[in-house]
Amino acid sequence: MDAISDRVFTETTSTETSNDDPSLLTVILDVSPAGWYRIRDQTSIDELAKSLLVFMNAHLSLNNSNQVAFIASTPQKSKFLFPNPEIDYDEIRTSSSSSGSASNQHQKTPTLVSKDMYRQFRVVDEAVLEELNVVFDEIANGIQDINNNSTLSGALSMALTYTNRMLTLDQSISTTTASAINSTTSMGAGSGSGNTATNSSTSNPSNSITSMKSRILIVTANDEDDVKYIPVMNSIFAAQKMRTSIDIAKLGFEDSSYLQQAADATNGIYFHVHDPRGIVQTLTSAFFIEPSIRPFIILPTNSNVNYRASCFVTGKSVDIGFVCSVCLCIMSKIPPSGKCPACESVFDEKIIAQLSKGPSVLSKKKRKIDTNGAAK
Amino acid sequence: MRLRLLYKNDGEDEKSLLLNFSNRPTMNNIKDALQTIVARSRTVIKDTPTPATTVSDGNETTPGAITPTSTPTPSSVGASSSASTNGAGSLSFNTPESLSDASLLRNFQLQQQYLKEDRNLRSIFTSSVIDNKLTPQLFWSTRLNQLRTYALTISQHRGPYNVLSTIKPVATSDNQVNVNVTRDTINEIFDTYPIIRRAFTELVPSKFSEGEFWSRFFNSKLFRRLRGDKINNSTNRGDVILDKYLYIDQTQKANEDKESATTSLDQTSKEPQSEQTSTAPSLQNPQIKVNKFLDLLGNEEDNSQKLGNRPDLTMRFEDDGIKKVNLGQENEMIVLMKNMNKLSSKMVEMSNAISTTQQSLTQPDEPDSLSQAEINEYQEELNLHDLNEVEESEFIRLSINSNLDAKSSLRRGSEAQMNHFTPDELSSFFSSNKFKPLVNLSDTYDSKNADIEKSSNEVTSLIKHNFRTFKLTTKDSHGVSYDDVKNLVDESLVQEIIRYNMTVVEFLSHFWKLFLNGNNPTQLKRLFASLKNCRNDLTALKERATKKFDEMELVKNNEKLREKIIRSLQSCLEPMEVSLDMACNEYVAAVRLAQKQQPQETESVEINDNGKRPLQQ
Repeated sequence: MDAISDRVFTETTSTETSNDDPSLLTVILDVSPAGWYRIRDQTSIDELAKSLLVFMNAHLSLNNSNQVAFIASTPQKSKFLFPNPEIDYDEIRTSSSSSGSASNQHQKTPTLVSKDMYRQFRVVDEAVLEELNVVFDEIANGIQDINNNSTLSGALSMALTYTNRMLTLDQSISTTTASAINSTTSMGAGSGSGNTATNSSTSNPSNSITSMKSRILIVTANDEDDVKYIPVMNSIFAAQKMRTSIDIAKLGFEDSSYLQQAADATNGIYFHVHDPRGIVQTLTSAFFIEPSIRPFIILPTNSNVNYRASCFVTGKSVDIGFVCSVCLCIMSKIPPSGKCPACESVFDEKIIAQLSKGPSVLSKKKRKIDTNGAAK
Repeated sequence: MRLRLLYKNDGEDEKSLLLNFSNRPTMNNIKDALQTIVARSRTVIKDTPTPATTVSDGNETTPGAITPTSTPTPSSVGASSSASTNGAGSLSFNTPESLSDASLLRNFQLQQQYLKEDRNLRSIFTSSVIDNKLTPQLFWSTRLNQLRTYALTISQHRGPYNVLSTIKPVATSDNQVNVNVTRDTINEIFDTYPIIRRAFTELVPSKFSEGEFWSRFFNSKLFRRLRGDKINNSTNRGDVILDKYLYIDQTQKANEDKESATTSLDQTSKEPQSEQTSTAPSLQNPQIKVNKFLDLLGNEEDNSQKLGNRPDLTMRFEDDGIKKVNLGQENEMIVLMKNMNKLSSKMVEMSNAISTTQQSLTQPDEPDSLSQAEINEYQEELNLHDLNEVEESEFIRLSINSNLDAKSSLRRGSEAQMNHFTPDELSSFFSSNKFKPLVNLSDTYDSKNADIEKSSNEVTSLIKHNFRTFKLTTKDSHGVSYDDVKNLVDESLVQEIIRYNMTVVEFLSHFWKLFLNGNNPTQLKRLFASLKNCRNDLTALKERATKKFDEMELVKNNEKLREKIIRSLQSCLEPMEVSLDMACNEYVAAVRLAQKQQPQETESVEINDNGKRPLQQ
């Protein structure tokens, strides 16, 4: 009798915990200078960053064990702003909790956020703001050598690797507040204290994979269609496999077809923010939907997706083009070398001749008359 | 001991009959007999008339193979198999040439039939070829694969199979057992089970009527045995007369084999029955050449019984003499296996016969020597594959040039993007964006009510829009009618637009195919003209529809509604318009270019190369 009732009891609890899974939110902020400069009349990047902080705080407050990460994608590089392995978040915490006396206070500039803020929010917000300042400095100083590269694909890969790690990490993260904080610190402490993570992950590896939900939000004002097509596509497929949704908040003037595809393929939300002044509302409504309930509700996503591919040679999107039969490299024109630019396979000359032959529009009759005339 | 019978004639009341017995065995015998009769009378044979050979069974149309009014006589057996080989004509695809592109294009009968079957394709065909003068040749040229698949589909027919196992007696509510048999099935039964044919010829005119024969047959043990069911001697009722053939079948197994082999190949070499039974087992009959490879007599020399261990029951060699003594008491399982083996080899034989007769039409085959293919097959069979070493799979190294992106971005570095703002501007812009201490997050929403409301509306309107499309798509699938606004639009108009779309897509696909790599300017010109026509028709359609909407009372008075309807009409037609315009423009541009180059005929090829259609729009 005991055995039977016991089993019933455990079953109900297990379903309950699965409903209460923590969720990881990774925000990628695309800091491409040109794009932000162009919409300077509407909003500034710091305004937007503040809205993002509100959004992240809201996410953290939903569940004690919810996690956030923040990645900045600058023209030079992509970089984790939070969590940052080089910063000891305990230090921030202690320094701010023992507010009056601490020695840290002198070395540091006064904290950017109010000390009265809820501790978990403060840790995140402080770190992100400080790091963003560093990023802005870097951009401002290095603006001369910036080519217009987009590092969004790199940022996306970083987000996915981080997500993957969090998904396969131990369950202790997902249970209590204390462990949630611990894990952030152990993340922060980086490789040195990695043993805690491995310890607990060996203890209960089976449940850990499904116990966390995850999504990625990309905020970008980049109007150029010049993302690295292959890496982005690969990231999309990886996200699809991990069941991680990629949400896109697109600022600026034009839609980005590749990001549209990313959201479309991963059951994410693509939203073109025409007026970013009230973006905090958009973030906390449209982008606040948990991935687990997305199949059941109507999403505020723009469903007109442009499924174009990008030319590997020119980087522009292609309407009609050529595809290498070996490596599926997409070309808008046949390279003069007659070789595939990606895999160097040599194309058949006959086929090239056939493909590059212009349309024969003039009726043959005319030509025949001409040739006949010449023959006569 | 009494037995009570209840019976009923048509329209009369139930009557009962009481029989008294003095001993039990007699009563049981009588009871069994009565039960058999009752069961037999309850079995109804439904002679579903042979389905009139449909057009789709292209090969089966030879008349004479099937006599629809009576059970075919054994002599007509084999005709149906030969019918399939005779079926020549445009719907048979025995030769690879008949499946070539050209012959498929020429095969109008096939095309017609395909159109008859595929409704979708038919409507495209009517709208594009019949209404809009697309040449059928062109139409089919893009559908050669479909056509070929169809040709192969209809040229296939059923091979021999265990017919009896597909016949399933069905018990009906009024306690009758129904068996559905068509003439075709009966033919097939005779083909596969010569013993039934024999029983039929021997019994039907003289002893039973045709119907009785079959109803007896389906109750007999013979039926169950041939089907592959296990016969349980004690419980199952049988049929005294037909079950005799069970044993006849066994004694003459070899002869039957031989007979069937001869009948299926050559009817004339049939020998009289009596002679066959008296002759030695046919395996020694010199008339049948058994390939040494398959000759089971070889097992005699390899008799494992002589070596001590008793072999498995399936492998025991029995002398014919012993076997005859044990008739009927043979192990049930072995009988079953033998039956199944017989059936299987029969089927193989039949399909071989068909293919060999087909081959012999083209080339005289040598009966004795093995063909190369057969030798290969036998050798393949001897090969113990899992003992061979696995071949290493070979990979081709594909070196992907990952610098592609870097290179291309360099190429683009020179582009205009950065020119709008100087680096200094950007630099100061970013410096100004730096956060000062004590960032107040409430900035994001304080005194921003209007903006927030705007954003909120943006989101909700998008959700509303998505909801509407969601509703429409789900409604569509459930077949529920549209809501009021939709009802304004005439169903015929919707159909017309759909039809236009199909036609336009069809034409455009042909146009681009020819334009991009075809070499047929006259055809292309004609297509261009059709495209132009389509474009004009589309404009006319649009005008017509707009006018119609304007005339509507509801629309006239409601400016907002009118706008909405016109807008949705526009969005319906826009893709077609854009693609048509694009194709037309491309063509015109190409023609102009070509005309310009016409004077310098010699250079034209080269210039054509450079001046080819740009792919980027």
